[in-house]
Amino acid sequence: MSFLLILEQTLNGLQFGVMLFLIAAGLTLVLGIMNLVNLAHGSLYMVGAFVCAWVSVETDSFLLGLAAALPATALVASVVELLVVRRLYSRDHLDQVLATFGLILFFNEATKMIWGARPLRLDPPDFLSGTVELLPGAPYPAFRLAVILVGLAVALGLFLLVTRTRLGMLIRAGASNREMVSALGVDIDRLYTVVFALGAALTALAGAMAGPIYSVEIGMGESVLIPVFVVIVIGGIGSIRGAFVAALLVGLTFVWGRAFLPGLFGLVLEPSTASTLGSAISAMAIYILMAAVLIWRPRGLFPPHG
Amino acid sequence: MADGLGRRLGGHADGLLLGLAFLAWPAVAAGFGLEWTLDLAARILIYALAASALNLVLGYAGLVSFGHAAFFGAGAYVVAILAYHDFLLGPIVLFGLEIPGTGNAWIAFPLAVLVAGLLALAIGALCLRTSGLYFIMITLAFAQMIYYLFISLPDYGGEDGLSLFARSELRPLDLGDDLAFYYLCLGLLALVLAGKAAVVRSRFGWALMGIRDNERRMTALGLPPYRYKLAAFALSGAVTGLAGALIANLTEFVSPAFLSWPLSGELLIIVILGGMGRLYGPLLGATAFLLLEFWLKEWTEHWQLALGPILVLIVLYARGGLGGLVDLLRRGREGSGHG
Amino acid sequence: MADPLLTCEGLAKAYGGVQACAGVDLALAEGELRAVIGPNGAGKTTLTGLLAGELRPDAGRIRFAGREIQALGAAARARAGIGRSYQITSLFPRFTVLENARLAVQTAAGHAFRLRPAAGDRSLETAAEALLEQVGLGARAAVPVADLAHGEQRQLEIALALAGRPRLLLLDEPTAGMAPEESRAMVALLQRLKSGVTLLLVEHDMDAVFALADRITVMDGGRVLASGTPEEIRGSAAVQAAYLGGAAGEAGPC
Repeated sequence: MSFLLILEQTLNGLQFGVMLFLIAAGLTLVLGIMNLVNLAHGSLYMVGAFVCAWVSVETDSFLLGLAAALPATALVASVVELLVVRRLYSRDHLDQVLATFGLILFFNEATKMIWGARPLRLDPPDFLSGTVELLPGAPYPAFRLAVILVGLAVALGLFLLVTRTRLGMLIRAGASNREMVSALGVDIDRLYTVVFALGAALTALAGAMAGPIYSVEIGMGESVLIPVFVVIVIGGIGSIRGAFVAALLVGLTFVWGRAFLPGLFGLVLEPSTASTLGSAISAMAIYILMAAVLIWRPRGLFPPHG
Repeated sequence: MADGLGRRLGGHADGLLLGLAFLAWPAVAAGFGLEWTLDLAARILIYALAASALNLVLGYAGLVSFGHAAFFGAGAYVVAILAYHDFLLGPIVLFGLEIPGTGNAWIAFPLAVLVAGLLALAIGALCLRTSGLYFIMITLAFAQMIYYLFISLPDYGGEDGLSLFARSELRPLDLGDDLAFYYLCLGLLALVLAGKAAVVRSRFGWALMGIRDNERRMTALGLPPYRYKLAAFALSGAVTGLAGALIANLTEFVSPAFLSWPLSGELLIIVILGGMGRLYGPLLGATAFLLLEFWLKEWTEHWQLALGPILVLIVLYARGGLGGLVDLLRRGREGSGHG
Repeated sequence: MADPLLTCEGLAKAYGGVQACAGVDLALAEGELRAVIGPNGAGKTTLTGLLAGELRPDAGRIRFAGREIQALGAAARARAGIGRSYQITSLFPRFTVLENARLAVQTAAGHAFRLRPAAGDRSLETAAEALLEQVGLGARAAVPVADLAHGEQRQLEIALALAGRPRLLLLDEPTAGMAPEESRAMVALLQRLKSGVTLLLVEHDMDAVFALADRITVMDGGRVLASGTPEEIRGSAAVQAAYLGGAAGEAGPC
């Protein structure tokens, strides 16, 4: 196995990782601050991807699609927050799980009615459709590279937002001490709506960027939701820093496992057994990682309080 | 919920009535030419069985497991895989040992229960190190791990699933006969409910309810909560596996859909809909949910567009579930009988 | 003199940077009633948590009945004979008084992996009824806990702690939030219990403390300031200055 292959798969892992982070960031804030399990977070990812794909096709511009997807998804999220989610903050987790499960059914079906059951095609913008020669003889898709850079930039921006701004201060305070935030005279309801919409916009960004790489289809939200949960559990609920580290870990584990495990097993086992076992274990790799972290630290790598 | 023994006994009467309705249904259906409903009714019984198992941990031990599909699917796959090896693949080779496949339910069903129970023991041992939000997400994640495992096993159909060539043999019963199969489901459900009633009334059941309501105090009284929760979780998983073995026989087909997380969600909904921590709640909930789903599907192709908001409304405005509604009605009828 | 029932040495626990217990030494003789007093934040509740095993000490040793127990968890310590009550009432609110007591009795009896019905089990019910009689709740057995008066809930709190027939009972402010009348009844109850069990009583009500205690330990800032008989404590200049004395108005119990 060559160095170039390892490099390529590592970049793929980072690319998947930063996308997981963009989705996980909003969700972990909602979990940590509002104490809300939102299964429908994946639906917002799907909405972002569909809006981006649709506008891109209509206007023939990926960037316009992206520009439309973020506010549109944030708007949808705000409406959902006002109508449904707001009533769930004070409920127990079970109610939250069931109600947001209902929202998923609704979103999937509504998306199907609007855009049809078939996957939509989303092309990267022209200037990113080629490849970049990272090393001589090692071309890498420019779009994936751009996803990594955008993801890292957003992660940095989010980190600055949380540590340096008043909104960030409120978010951090809200995660550890609700009473204090309301004692500061802050309108908690509005803060929650803002955080929810912000998380939705980040997720929409991930969805839009996922479009050209994976496919824009019904149910894409749920298939990504579970790895995102794994990220949040590993990182520690409510921790942005934890989500970042865990997202990269999970992204790399997932991609490396799929790319290299069958080959590694092939070194010691006969080919058919190796490929079956390799693909079975790589399918479970991120969950095995999660189990290992849990045995070591039941509250994740960076539990935000206590 | 548990604010008086009288009400709990009242619950048994309602459950009995519902049970009698299911007992009589095949005759009624035959009378009205509705034999085709037997399949749906058997499905309701099987889902009620799985939801009853889930209710033991959810309603009595307060553990929100979002991963019971793993045990349901495991039970289904055990039956299907054994049958598949019996018919087609030859013996299962495991660490050099040759294990023959079988279509005999007397072997396959207990094995399904055992495998699901052991799986629940392993998953529970990890998940119960956490609680609350973590527990929900981790049970979900491990169930998903089993789902992806089966998708990546081409020998057992991968994403396409496996067909059974026939229903299991359970001499002297002939499960190929839909009526016999229906009554097997009903009988097993009755058995499970009776067993659960005994568990809930026992010291073990009280210990679980104590942990649910005040884990810290139970610990201070000298009870190690982890063991009790794990025992309940494994028991619940094992019984869910039995439901899985039955569903594989009903549909004569298993697929990763039996392991998928929407199924875990549906089981939770059924428990909530019937009223959590009620013995007969899961049967009531399964009846209501599967009928609702059936009618919505008849009505429109976009039935999930209606089902989603209905679920949201139930959660927001009908917390006690249908069981709570039955209580309200009875209280109305009996005047001021209950305080 | 016989070995003390409980000794702890250098018991320490910090939360973040705050040293809640900073090296506490304590020795309790079998049968004594020890009151622990001190201003809010002195580390009294942390001490009970450490002794009951709900908190892990950062440092220090605990010996109970001749055995090192600092490594044991809360459940194991309860089985070893340490019972406790909580400052904030901690019951099973969905059940009746009798059901609460029965649950405590069956738990204390151990091995609850049994499938015989618990309700109607005479051995459990008799013990539960006796327990309720002991704390004066015999007439209230059938009442749901949610319908009890605050004082009665505090009595039930004691009953649950007694279910395991502990040799040492840790009581965290049993009179918290009580009306004077209820408070007097609680003092009378503790007076009756005193003969049968060693008690460690964390309490703010000084009347109760001086009426009940054989010895008093005064804590401040996570340390033991003084230990002695009620007379010694009343006379101690250090304690006067820190706690009971002229500044009682602001440093006094609340």
